[in-house]
Amino acid sequence: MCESRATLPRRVAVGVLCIGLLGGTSRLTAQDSVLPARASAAALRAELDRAEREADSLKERVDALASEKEALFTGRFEAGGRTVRFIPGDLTDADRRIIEEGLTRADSSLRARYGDDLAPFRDPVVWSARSLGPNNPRGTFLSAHRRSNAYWGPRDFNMTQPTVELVEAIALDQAGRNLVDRAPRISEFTRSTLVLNDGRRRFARAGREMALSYASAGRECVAGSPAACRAVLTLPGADGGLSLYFSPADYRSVVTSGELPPTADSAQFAARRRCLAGSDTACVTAVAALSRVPNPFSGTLRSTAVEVALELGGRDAPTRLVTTRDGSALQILATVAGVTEDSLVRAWQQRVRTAMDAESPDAGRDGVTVAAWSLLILFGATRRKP
Amino acid sequence: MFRQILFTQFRWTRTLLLLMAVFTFVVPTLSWNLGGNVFAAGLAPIAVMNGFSTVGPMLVLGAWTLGFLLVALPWGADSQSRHVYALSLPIPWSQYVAMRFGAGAITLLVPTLALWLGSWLVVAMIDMPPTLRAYPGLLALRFFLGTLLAYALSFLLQYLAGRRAAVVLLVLLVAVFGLGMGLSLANQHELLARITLWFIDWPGPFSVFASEWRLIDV
Repeated sequence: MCESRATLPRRVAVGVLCIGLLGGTSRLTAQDSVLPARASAAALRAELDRAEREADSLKERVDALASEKEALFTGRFEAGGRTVRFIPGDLTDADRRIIEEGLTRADSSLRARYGDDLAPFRDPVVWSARSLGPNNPRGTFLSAHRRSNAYWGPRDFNMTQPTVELVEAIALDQAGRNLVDRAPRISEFTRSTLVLNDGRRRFARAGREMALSYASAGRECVAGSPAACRAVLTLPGADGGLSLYFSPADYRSVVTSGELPPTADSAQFAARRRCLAGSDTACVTAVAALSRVPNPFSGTLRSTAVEVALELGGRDAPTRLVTTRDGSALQILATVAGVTEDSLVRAWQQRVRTAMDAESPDAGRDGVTVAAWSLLILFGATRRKP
Repeated sequence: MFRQILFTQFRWTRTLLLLMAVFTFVVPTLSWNLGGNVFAAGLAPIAVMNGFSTVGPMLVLGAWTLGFLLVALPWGADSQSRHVYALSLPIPWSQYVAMRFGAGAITLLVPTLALWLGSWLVVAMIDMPPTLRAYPGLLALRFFLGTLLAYALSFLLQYLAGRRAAVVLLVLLVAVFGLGMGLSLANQHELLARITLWFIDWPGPFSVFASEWRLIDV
């Protein structure tokens, strides 16, 4: 069994069991009851062989069912430069129209911004639409399956209430992913995220994320420091961004969210405890002991800088993004934008600030609404005499 | 005449107003003690924000309670005399109701001012991170608007349904709950969502409660 041909995960599992079994038998050999133990090991091996055969048969059955299911997707329709496959009779006409219109809108939106050459955004995925099931015939899943990559599962977008806007947002989200996936350095920079809709709110959210961050670079960027903004748009080095993003005053928060290595000794645990209890000097020791410093900024935040670069770069910008390979992410983005790195950082900072100001709380609208409803209600209340 | 109505409104509701003023005055401090619990320097911005996360829910609850009671107390006093005083006045009934409404709305300023003062006090005690800002005025304004709406709705119910207001309110609540359950069971989630959004999205009547009632924000 231990030499049987099997897939890698199963080999590992079988190997571990073999080692366990052999280890177990060797320990027993040292004792007097050798024969019963060997019998027991043989029984276990037989059990394992049987389980392996059952697993193989089950996998074959799953593969066969998956093939059968794939064969059911015989319906096709084209919309917005994409092909969507579906099971005839499964997708309602209304949902199909919504999907068609949403995909077409997404395509128009991309064309309006980046011209007719949309090759960098085009899908390396297969789109399929299917009903959510008998309990919810109105709902639909819109799925994106990566072509020729077995390890990339489908992204299922639940559309319990399908709307054109939702489909458009899904298509733009996927188009952004397609673009950054073709630029490895930028994909790492944004963690494969580039959302191309709902612009102002995303910039406002990016500003909010920085303003509330435990990393001083984020807070100083919102407060107006271009150097801090540059740090935010830089990926961390070997120290996990400790010197790049954080000041010593942030170390307590870093220790709270960071992880000590599994091999940490009692002195390191003690330093962590003292740091969390309020000792600044202990925080310096505790931070140095961390095995991993979490990146305080999300890929979505950084993806807003990609959007600014694309806007500044004009219609050829998407092509430049996927063809420029040399330099850091910020250097690539500056090339895409056709400006210096400092100019790009300042433009991004300005966009974030403007979006934050536009989204700042305001009760004027609520005041008008409540006044209007109250007058209407008062009018109603005066209609009846006791 | 309005001054007289305002005076009686204050007299009938002064205990309630005092209690609500105390409540709104302590809500920011109470919330900070429940959520943040530290009056210390160097707090992370998110910790300060989380420290005040219960301000909104507490004030919404207070707004509905105050709005409801502020209508019920004067109505109870008026109905004990079978509205003889109101009906004997040389003004139309609608004008009297409008003045009664206006007097009640003005008294809402008492707990609103207390909230504003309490918010200022607690904000002054915190070493605020530079990226955060306090909005005591905005929070007080939202509370006033929310209370005004709750007061107006209670007023409508009381002055249309009279003594049967409690029964009508109960029927309304059961009807709303039943409608929600019925639409959910009938798989009409979209319709249910649309109805709900009509009420809570601007310019729906409850949009003020869907806004973020925050004392501290970026």
